[in-house]
Amino acid sequence: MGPLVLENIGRCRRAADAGRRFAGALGFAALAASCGPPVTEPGLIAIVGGLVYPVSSEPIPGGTVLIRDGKIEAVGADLDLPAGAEIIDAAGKSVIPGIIESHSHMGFKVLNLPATGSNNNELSSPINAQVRAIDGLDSSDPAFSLAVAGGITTQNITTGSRSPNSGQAVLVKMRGGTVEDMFFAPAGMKFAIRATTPYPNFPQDEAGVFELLSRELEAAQEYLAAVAAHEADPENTPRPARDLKKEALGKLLTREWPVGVHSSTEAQMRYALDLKRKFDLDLYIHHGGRTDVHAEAMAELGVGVSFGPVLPFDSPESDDLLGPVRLAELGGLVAFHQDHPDGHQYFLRHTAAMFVRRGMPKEEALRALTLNGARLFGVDDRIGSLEPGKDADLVILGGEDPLAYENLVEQVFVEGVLVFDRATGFEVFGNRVPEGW
Amino acid sequence: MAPRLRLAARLIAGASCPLFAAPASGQTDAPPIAPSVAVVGGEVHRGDGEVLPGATVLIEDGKIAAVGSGLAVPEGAEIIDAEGMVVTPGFIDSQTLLGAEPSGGGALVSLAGEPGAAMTPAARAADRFAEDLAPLWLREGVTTVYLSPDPRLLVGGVGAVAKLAGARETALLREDAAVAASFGESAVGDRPPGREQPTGRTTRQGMIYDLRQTLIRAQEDAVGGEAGRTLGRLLAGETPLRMLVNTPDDIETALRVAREFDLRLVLDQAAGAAAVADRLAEADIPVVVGPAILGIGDGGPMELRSHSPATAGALHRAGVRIALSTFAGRGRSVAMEAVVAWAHGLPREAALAAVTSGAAEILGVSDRVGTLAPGLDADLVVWTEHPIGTYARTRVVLVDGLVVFRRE
Repeated sequence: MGPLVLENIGRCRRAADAGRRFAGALGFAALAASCGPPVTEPGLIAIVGGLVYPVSSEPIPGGTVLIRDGKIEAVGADLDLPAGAEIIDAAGKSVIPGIIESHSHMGFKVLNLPATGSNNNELSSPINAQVRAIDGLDSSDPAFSLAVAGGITTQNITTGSRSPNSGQAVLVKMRGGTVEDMFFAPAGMKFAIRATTPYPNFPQDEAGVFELLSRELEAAQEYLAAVAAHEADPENTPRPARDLKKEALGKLLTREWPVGVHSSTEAQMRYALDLKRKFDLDLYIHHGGRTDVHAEAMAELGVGVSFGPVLPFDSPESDDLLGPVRLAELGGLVAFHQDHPDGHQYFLRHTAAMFVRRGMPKEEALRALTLNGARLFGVDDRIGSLEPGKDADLVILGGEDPLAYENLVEQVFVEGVLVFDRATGFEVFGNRVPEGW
Repeated sequence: MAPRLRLAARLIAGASCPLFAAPASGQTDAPPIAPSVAVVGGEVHRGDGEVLPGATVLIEDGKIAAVGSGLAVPEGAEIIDAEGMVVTPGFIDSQTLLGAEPSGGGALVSLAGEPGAAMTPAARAADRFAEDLAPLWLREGVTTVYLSPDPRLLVGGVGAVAKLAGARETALLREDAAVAASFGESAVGDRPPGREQPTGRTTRQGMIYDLRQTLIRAQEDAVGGEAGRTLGRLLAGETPLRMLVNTPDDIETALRVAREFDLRLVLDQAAGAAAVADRLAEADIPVVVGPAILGIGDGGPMELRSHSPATAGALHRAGVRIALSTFAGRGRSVAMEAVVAWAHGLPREAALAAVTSGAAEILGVSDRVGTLAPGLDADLVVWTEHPIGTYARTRVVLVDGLVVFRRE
């Protein structure tokens, strides 16, 4: 194929992307007609020549990632390229899994809307386990576009932390479209151990929050026991009336869902670990400002941390980055977050760079940006690394070292669809990404 | 108040004397305050754009005595081997809230002669100076910072410039570096309940009226006390006005007021400055660019939402003098800010200058720090590689010729 054909591929690719995004609106035959004779097989993409970081295995110099129909078909050094594959040259660049943001309020605190329009915190009651994030999201938030330009392909959108239990979180993929279009998987629940809630009937201190959460979980235990008793003997034992709150908390007790606990001070984190010990939850920490104090216990209990945001201000006086560095050394799980809108999600790679500067090994920092986020939510069988069968969510960076901040994001694929391309303009999901980002 | 004024007067008098002429090597009779040091063999980036490969920096009495290739190392000098490394001036963070609560000093007053915007022109950030303010930053190569008074007030007081190591006499570089002011959402509000700002005005035009009226009263000597003296120095051009503004329109308002009263203006944060870069270049208004990695904010000022990591580069290309900052109270260093600015279009040496010589010039302390030149304070950093890069780490940090941090 000559250069002319390659040029055509680029145009067809963009048309095909548009077609995929507005599936149904455009027939495939129409697309092919607009591109002249079809030169590539739709959905078949080979990213070649880059330094490929599968994350689950060693980096592959000059590696190829083969994508078919939104999934990764193969990753390796000397792959035969199937006929009809669209070729993307990544020579001199790095290819990494899509970045996973593990704590975001995007779509709740909508960019360019006043805070009064926020759906971030349901405050009518301290326990909101029955409240689901997906029901309150605004997919038109322009912040989603800048997130993609920063390499984010999946984010955990969680409710706020003004109540001890603010509700159910949701994982969304950066596919554009409506909330239904973006939905990826449930992301468990959010607890918050803090005493800054001057609302009626709210616990007034951290001990009170711990007590309340314990009581609610115990009530859910009883509910589960009553349901189990009914199922064991349906004729003689009535089914308890359905209780969405207890059902949701029950999914924490059975470990079907993880729970992320907002806690940052030494005492808050101790309460969080006590919840883990008491109920054996699939529990991780959000923020984790004193991970340095609790690293050993966290590693032993299997409690990971979603650490962040790393802002230029408002960090503890101690070198709080050393805690996650230590936890990772002990084999614990560390992921990063920017806590949009407190931190700018685009700069999640900046957080990774800060950790590398503080001594975190590069491969660990890359894992924290990708696979570890997937592990937190139990979706590491689908995203987080470049492996055959996983979703083709990946990022091409402008240099062979993905941890060097200065190697900016060049292209972002979500399920095989190019959603951001630095070279062809800064338009993502219909929003203009300002020049220079 | 009196002792502080005396100290201020002493420092101001001191700054105007030629205290810091280069001491000729080996000619001083007084015992050296610091040992002679030779930083040998590094790639020396002076901070002003000049790069000297394989050069030596000679330090005598805490001052830089000479910089160049093939310099003879005086007998007895401590030698710091910088072979294969990069030597730069100590980094400068041009906007910080280090120290105690920034609003800690001075009563809220209205000086417009009628009820209006609250101000604390008599508050002095220098009062927050303490030794060991930010040890982590020192280890990250930051040796000098601007201490801001309350940045949310129409007139929040007087900012200072201080080193992060050394006693007050040597470390407090300027007690009267700038008069801090702000208007727009940062000062007016547009914030959720419980986070209102301490101001009596609710609009930009209301605050700007107050500023005009206050400056007119100061011109007419109707503002007494320390506040009157602060405003008097501002009107006389002795101290610049550091105006925290973000939108292009607010920036132009700041320019308008500065023109009317013939004030020296320095812009703070200035998220929207790229849109009016040509105008800033023409008027030679320097900008202390706010942190690039700023969050969008939780119900915070909408005006920040136009901020971009490309602002520093855009201003530089237009010919605007810039410095970089973290606006930080505690934990992060300005070094990564320079990395981000570089990644988004600011040339590498310009990024270095924005945290060294350029910053010193904008802060009014270029006679002491910011450049590796004879006669200036020996505040310098030996880096493992070019410091404008993700992986640069400090190896040795010196302030006034003394090693304050060393990583083996």
